[in-house]
Amino acid sequence: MSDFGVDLKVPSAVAERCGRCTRPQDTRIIKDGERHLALCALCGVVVDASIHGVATQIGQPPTGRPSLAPGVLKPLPQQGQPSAQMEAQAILQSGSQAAMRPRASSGPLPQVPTPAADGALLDQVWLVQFDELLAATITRSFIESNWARTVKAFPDPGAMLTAAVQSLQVGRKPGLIFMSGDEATLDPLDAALGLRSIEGVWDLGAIPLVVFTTAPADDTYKAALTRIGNARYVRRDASTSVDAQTARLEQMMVRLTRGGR
Amino acid sequence: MSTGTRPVLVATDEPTLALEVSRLRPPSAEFTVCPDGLHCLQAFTQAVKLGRAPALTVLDLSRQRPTPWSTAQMIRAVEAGLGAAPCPLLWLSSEAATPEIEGWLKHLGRSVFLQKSPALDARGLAQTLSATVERLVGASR
Repeated sequence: MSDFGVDLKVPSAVAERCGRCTRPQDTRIIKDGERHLALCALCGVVVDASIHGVATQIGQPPTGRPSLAPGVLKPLPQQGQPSAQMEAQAILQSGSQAAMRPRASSGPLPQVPTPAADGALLDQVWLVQFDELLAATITRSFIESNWARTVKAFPDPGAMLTAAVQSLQVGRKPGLIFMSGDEATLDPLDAALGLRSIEGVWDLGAIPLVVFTTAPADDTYKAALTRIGNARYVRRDASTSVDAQTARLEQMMVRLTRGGR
Repeated sequence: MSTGTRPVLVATDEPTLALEVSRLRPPSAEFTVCPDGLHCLQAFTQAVKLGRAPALTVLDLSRQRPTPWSTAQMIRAVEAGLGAAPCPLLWLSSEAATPEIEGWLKHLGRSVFLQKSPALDARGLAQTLSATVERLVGASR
């Protein structure tokens, strides 16, 4: 796959309120035997002991997650006691995650947890400026694969920015944005830079971005992605079928999740 | 912000003009100078979020990324996201308006184009800008 990675960090499942942090935090999910533990990305506290299936309707916001099970919340680790992150690491090293795929060659890939069999890896994935058929095919694939609870499609980068502002204003953000890099009324790379500026107002971190484009991956393009940060590039061959293009994005999801489907 | 003044964003990538504008103290407006479109977008978003939408945004940017056209569109996207009314945009350029630019202005709405006089230095341009802003902002109070 011809792509270009710049320190892309995909958050895990859903922004949760961990009980210790003052605002919703991204979580990372690990498997512990039959259970799936969601850890606050900021402090490492376990915020949810399992991921329950949530009915997903395409284009609709998630209906919300089940409330935390009693007794699940753990206190912050005291000095000398193993932290939840250390416990998680121990679980990972114990072999339940030993089948993780090796690191991709195009640069460091983020550590993304394995999705639960009955839960989605990301709350929302956004598609920007994809034609309707491709968007529908990708949506079905991502939902069926439990990569996303909700997939939203936006007709152009400007609509995406408007939605991003609305989402950030209520303390939420999508887990991943796939954006067509093809020419639009609002230049996609300018929009990506603008997104980073806007994110800075709410300080909720950079939304991972994958640009899916027919443009050549020349040095100028790579420099633009580096400037954007937390962005990746995937070549798009517009002459190929919708299924082939969807497969390309599925490949990217597998790489981002390290084959954790 | 001084009592009675309204916030005005000035995005310019000409350092000398930025310096001159930052020295101005017009009676009706308080200038915030941004060195490029991204800083302008962030300052604009922050201001609207805090309920202090700029009375006017001045765009004096070259065509480097993000272009003034992109910056203006992103400002409109932010306004739509936060439910704010469209902010008047004042475009400055050393070039004359082309049909393409006129098309952009029509698309954006509430936008005015001014060509910079080549006879003016940065100080003269800043003073002209101040007078124009005073006329636009002061008249709308």
